[in-house]
Amino acid sequence: MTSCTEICRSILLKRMVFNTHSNIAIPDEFLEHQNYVFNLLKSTVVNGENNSALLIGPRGSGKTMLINSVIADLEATCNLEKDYVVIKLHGFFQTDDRIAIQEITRQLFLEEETANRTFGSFSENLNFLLDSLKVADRKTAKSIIFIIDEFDQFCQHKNQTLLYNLFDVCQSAQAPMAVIGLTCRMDAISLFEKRVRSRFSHRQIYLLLKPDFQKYNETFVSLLRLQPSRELKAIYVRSWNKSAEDLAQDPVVQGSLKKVFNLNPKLRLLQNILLVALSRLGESHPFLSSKDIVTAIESQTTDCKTLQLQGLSVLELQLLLCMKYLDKIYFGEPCNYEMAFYEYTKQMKNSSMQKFDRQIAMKAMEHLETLELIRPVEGISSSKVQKEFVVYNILVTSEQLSAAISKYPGLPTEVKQLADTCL
Amino acid sequence: MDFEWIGDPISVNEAVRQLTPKPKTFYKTCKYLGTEYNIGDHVLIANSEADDPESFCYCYVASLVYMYEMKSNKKDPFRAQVQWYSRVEQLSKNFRKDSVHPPLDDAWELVHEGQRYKGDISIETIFDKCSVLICEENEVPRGVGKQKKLCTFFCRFALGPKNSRDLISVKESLAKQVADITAKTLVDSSSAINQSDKEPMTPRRVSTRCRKMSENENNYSGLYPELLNTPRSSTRNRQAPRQLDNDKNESCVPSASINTPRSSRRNREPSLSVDNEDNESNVPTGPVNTPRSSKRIKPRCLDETLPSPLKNSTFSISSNKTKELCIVIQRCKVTPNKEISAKEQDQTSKVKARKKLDLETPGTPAKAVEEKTPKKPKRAGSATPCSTQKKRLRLTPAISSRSGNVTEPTSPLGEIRRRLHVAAVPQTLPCREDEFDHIYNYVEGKLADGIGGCMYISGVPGTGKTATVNEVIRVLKESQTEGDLPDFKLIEVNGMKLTAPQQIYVQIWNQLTGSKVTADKAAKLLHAKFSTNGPRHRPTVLIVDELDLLWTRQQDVLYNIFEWPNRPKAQLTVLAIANTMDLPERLLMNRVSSRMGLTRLTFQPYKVKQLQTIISSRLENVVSFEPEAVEFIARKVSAASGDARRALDISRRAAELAEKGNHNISSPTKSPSKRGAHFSKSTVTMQHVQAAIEEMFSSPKLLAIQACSLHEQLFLNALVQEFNRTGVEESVFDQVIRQHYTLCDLEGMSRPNVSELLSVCASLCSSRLILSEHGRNDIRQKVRLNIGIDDVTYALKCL
Repeated sequence: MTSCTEICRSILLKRMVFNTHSNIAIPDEFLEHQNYVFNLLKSTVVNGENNSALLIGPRGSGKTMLINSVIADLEATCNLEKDYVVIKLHGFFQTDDRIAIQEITRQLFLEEETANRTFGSFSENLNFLLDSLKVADRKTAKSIIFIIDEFDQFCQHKNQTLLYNLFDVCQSAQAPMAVIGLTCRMDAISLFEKRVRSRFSHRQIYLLLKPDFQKYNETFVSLLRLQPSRELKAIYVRSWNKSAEDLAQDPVVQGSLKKVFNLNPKLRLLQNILLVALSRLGESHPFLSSKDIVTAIESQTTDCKTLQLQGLSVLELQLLLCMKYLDKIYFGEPCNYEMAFYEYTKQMKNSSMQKFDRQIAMKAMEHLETLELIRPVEGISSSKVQKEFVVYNILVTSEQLSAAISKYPGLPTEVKQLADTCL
Repeated sequence: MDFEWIGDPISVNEAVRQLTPKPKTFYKTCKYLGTEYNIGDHVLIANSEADDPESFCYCYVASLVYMYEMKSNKKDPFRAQVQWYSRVEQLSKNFRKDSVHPPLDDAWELVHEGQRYKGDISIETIFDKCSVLICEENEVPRGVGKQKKLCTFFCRFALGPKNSRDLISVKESLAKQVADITAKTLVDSSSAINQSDKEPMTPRRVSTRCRKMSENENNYSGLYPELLNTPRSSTRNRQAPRQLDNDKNESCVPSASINTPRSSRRNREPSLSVDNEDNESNVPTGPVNTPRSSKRIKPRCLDETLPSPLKNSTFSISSNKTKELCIVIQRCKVTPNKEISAKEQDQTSKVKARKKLDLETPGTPAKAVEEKTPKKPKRAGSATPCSTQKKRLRLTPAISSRSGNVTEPTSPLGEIRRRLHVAAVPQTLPCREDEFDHIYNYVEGKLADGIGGCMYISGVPGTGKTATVNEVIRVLKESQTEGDLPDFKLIEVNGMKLTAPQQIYVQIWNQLTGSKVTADKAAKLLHAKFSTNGPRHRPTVLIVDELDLLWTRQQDVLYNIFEWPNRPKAQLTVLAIANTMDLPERLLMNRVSSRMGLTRLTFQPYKVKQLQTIISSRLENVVSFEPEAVEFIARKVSAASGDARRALDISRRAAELAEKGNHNISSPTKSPSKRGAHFSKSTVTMQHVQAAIEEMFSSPKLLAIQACSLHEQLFLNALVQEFNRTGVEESVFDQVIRQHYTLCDLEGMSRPNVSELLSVCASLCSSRLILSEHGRNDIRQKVRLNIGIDDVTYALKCL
């Protein structure tokens, strides 16, 4: 028999992964926007109006959540579900108009069992789609709701053919449809070609919200909160919820959360952190502790370069230090292998450490390059230059280097001293 | 050339003779490529626009009304006046075809065209004879189809009067024509007598009509070529028995016709034809030579003819009764029900099916039907032409329909919103009257003169270019249905709706003929079409929207579009629409811009007054907009772009806001100043407009900055600091980090690590508050602000 902890763990993990948190409501500030979009779509569905709008908000601000809830509302509204078709496009899936048009046709005519039809050329498809939209009668045809995610990506398509045609249908009396674009670019409208811009209705809905730590904390609790159910005993649920609330009030957790919040107040990061923390739960460890949260936050926010540097060999670290030193002396000018190696031999003159010869140092340098800790300067083609003289930029900051060196196990003291002088 | 006239010239009605001033000699019979054609015969005419001009899937069908020789026309002296029949697929979409029962047969049914087209053709385009059965509305005759090399069509309907879209019974239509003519000639002749003998033979009424629409005259006079002037030539009488003999011979050996390849059809004798000329010799019509006397005699002459049931084939339709009789008799003679057994018929159809790339496998239902019931020629016939087969496989473009109809908005402001939608088509286009006149006169002139030309229309988006052109076309269509203008074919293409410039050929060809071909093929076909003047050539109006997108390196597409109108036979008028005024100079080669000509029209952006008129014309008598509000919108828009769409969008949004506003006001509190609430209910005020403009055009940069996380704001601040330090807008990421760390120290916060700062930078970049290089450059990427420095400092100060 699975214990309550197990059940609780699996419920919460699912919630973090699949975004199935029904208890995260749309912020009050967005209710007005939600209403606006709902009315817009409703007038398309009920009155056969043609509308277009852009939802603009930074990543993680809840654009998709808002549109999904609007669609859900629309479904819930009495007997409308037969009057419209929702067509969802995504700028990263439909990377050109050809694919997008095939996808639209597929989604539009799915009901008519045309799945096994082979599609013709791009122009045939486009004409077919446009004809379909043209012959559709405003009074009798189903309304079509286009929801276009990553809308800005569609602006990169050749001639913006798809956007032009969608907006052209919108602004002329053809099939009833609504085009809702979701984008995180504030300047999305300026991406439109002038003809496309003229046809767009200029309805822009900005989803911008000042971050609020109080709300963030509440979200943290509500993400963890459980509802009593058949499998979960009420008494367990109560004690779990209590522990979650206590955890949120814990000053250590609060401090770490505040740090995360200052960087990135998005829900998604919080979910990831909780995912890591929750996976530690078990029979011996039934409730989340503040330590779990702190380590989870650390795991999500550690500097990846520092970790990478800790796995380098001593020679590679020395070379990097030499290059960083040169970088400092020459005010950020790039340096090549010869310079770095000369610096290295100079450092090694009075050293008791093992000295490596040119070939081995060259290998180490190449390894650094494959790790992209150093990078050849752009614009100078490396094929024409002998590899000893290819100039590199160093992509590691001195903070990252010193952090790595302080954590490096068993590093010779000479290297540490070198690091002190170099950085 | 294998052409000769048979028999002596005949004399015709003066009205017919005067159609063109040039001297003509009329004949009754001719022989072309071994086949004899008589007046009244039904013939197949090559369709030069089709892939295979002489395939009977695509050819035209007509009956000969007159044949004449025009000596002055050196190239093409042998000509004929014909009465057209339309194939079902050639019918314009406007006609209500679906209301017909039994449904129209795509393959073998014809529709009598009445007086819609001018029927003057060159005899050389005729390539074969055929027969046409005139039937009742609801009957589908037997024996249609291609049998023994002779195509038999049937005809149930005729096109209605000029501006109707209905199909009417062909019998009624023909009977009506007869009645008209009879009445007319009676009046005419009497008036002619009453006046004086000096008066011209054709009374004024007829002659004016004739000048106006020459085809009219041809048609009604064409109904009785023999009645008007029937010098029965001896050749013809001699001819008839031989033909009959032939018929008999052929019907005895039906297998021969099945096996003969199609190419031999030219050399064969007219067989099983509709001609019943031996009977005709019984018709007691005396030779009437002068047109004047013909007019007087005609009514009597008509009466005399009526009882003779075996008048020349289907064409001698005088009254319903006689027609029926005529058809009955004819069918007995012509339809090969008895001569050709069902088995043989089956064989023929099999041969045909193989020939036509029929997609059906043997034994499919359609075939079975054909074998079992040859009585249903509808089904059997439909299996033959390949075009219908292809069409059936194509998806029909359609959107699935909704459960109920849309409901119109009921609230007064909802009505306004509907009217203010950019898609709402206004009754008139205000403020574009001059441009409208300009385009209308141009196109009308070209159409009336039967020549081609092109016009370049330019203007910034939203200035009503396409709307005006559409309006012109609408008015032209109207005046065409009223009969003031010749029929023209409209083709609309939009550069934005094409995937490649060359696709325009496909589109044009598709709209011309309804068939789909590849771009290269379409280009060739269009070249051929616009350089020859085939029969039934109609003037064409081509609207090319978004012309600039048709630009290619070679400019061959643009070259062709502007080359075609310059060809003498094309009769093509091109209206090219684009945004840029100086496109010809800037983008086009000399040889293209030279062909484009100098007829240009520029749509200026709308001025304040015009925008005001446009909005208020849409509002009409609904006084829900404050005049100041309208003026405010007009001023705002005209200052920015002069785009009418923007003005409409703003006013629509303002109406929405007003609607929403009075919901909010009226619902929670009822008491405070009922009058004020009522006032706001029906009006859109300045505030609403202001709010709408604010919403649509302001970019909420301040809000966007304030919505950033703390470190994002610090990063923006660090960028500003870095700019202040270096004076260069662009800075490298690792330099910004230094500033960022300093700021962190100042604020007393812990320093975030580099990975975190990179993600901060990426998130700012995704909303385009800053611009950065590709993330591949890591800490060396260049970063710059995408908003004003003042905006940043102001927004951060406000916090």
